[in-house]
Amino acid sequence: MPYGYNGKILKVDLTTKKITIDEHDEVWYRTYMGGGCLGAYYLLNEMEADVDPLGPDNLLVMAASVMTGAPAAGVSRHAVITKSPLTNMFLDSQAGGWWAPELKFSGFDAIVVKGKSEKPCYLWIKNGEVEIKDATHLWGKISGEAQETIREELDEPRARMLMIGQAGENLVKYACILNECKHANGRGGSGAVMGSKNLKAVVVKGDKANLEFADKKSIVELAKWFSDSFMDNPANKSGYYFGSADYLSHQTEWEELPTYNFKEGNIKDAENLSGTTMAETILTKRERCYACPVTCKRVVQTGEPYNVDPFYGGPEYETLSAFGSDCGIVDLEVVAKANELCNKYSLDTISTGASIAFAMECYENGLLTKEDCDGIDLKFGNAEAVLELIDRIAFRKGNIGNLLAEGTRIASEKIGNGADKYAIHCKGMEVALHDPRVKTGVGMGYAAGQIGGDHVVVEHDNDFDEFAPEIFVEQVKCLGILRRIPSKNIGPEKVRNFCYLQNHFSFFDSLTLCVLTFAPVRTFKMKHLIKLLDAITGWENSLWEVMKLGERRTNLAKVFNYREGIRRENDMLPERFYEELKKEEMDSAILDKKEFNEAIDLMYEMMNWEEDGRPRKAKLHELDVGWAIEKIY
Amino acid sequence: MKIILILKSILKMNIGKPQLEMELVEGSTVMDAVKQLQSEYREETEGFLFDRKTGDCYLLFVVNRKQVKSDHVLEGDDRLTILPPLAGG
Repeated sequence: MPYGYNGKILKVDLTTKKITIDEHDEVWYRTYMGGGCLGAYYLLNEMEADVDPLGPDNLLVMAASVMTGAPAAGVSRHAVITKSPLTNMFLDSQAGGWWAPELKFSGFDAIVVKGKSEKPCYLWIKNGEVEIKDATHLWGKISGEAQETIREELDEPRARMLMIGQAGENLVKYACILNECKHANGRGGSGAVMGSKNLKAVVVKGDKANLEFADKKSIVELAKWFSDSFMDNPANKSGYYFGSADYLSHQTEWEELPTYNFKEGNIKDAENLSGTTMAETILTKRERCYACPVTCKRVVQTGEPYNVDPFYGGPEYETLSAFGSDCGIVDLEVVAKANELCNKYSLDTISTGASIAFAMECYENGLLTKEDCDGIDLKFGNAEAVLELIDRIAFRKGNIGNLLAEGTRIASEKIGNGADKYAIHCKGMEVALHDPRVKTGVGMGYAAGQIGGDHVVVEHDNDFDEFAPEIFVEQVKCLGILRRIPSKNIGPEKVRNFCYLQNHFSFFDSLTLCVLTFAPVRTFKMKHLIKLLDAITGWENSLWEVMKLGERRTNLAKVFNYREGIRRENDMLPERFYEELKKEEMDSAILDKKEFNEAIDLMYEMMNWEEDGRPRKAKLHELDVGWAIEKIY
Repeated sequence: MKIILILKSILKMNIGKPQLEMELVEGSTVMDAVKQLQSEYREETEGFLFDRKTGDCYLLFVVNRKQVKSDHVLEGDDRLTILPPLAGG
């Protein structure tokens, strides 16, 4: 019996109802470890190019890692890896909560689903036993109702499940997957892939004793140390009290809060949306993930008129900005309601908010009429319009609902007349609520990362700039990042930082680690991470080895994308980010297009990729994935 | 000289006000203001302004909407905002 993992990957073909198990050896697990790297292995080896993302041949991989399930902070997450219906590219979307440890306890490290069930179904996995159960009676239910019905009919009140709502069933291109109805595999439309397979839920239950660890005593010691220390870390402390919402106060202070579809950097009364305001008004509870004391999750409740249900959690920073400032809204209760609806229907809050903001700008510029919007007065700031549109998008209702359900790239193509300049996406994925004009590393992640408009490609620039706390700068030195670099810098030193930090977050995505727990800016330093990995698996690991793991994942994802036709010319930012971000009181920000493109070109050279983006054969061999060469040569 | 201290996040929660006035000697720096805040609100700022183990200050500072370091020299009527070091959501 291996330590930390089961050595078993469950494979389910919903078309044939065939259930099999892959068993890989220790070398395989040590090479891929889990999460996005494991998922990339399966997507490249068991899927052809040009597969329809919403067709039966698309694989849906749900993967924990060799660390998941240990009783320590930050190792309770999983990844969903598939071909995205929003971008037609590699998708690796991560989530916290409680599902991933239970998957490991149930006897499996990952699940690979292919095919399409004839009728709606759900998977039920308990202590190694697997059933495909009928979900006809669940289809059409919101996530919470379906979850409680399943727990009742199985008589398993503590079963954990990945679930979709109606947005997934209706194949909305940015439908997400949820666990506990509030932890989201948010980006890229994995919920639509699940819906396309007629798969409503993946339910797991297992005994903790099924998972063995090499050195449990050391794991418990590390967990205790973290628990005693995390409130001394200023970022973790803020996260406990205010969640990621605390960041909104920073954005307003610096006039960098995405406003009116990224046209501006602040809006009057933006503090109404802040974490502090939330704590003072609608916050009822703080919640956590499995084995983690950070407790960064919010639970909110309101009375009339919105009656926000606390069952669906509360908004994070991205949601507050997406439905708030970016749509011209500063009413916290409206945003809380929007969050609740998205979690009921399983919609990505970032893409949904961004799609509505896009439509608002089109409307205000005469590219969409009131008739096009099914009678909705779609001006910035119209709160009722936002809530109405979430409903319409989830159910593809009417002209505007169906149009926006496709995402801003396709919607702008259909609208025409220059609507594309209002579509703020990278390769089809709406960008997250951080402005590349003030964080160039984040911008590089949007443009040249493997997912699209993803803000978690690298640790953000201002954690290592001239104002950053000394502790952050100290804790990143072991990655070879020794100097502070201004957030707006886009020179070779920033590109080098980007490459190193990309490998760093990429190994996080392979080990499905929580960025709120581990360095460089959180409590667990890199040495603790390696110690924890060793204590779980019994391997004698190193930071070098896991950085290589991250590089491996990035390159496998790049191979997948190259095979799908993605080239260097696709690695670009929307034109809006080359316009000046004017600020009222602070210095304005501008990103030079030529300099930015030169930075991307330099990044390719540093990564040992050819000019059009193809990873070189030598690089793939060096990463011990020489088998991937035949996919693109 | 008087400055206005804008309170957000944990400071606002603990002190219970969105801002307060602070009297400082001419030539005071941001760090001087932080230390004075600590002495005036010892209980409310415990564990936030300075690291309990190392005594280092891990905060971000904005003066009149411009990000500054802790050695920045303040002037009368300046508005100083103190924030925890967050970079992303």
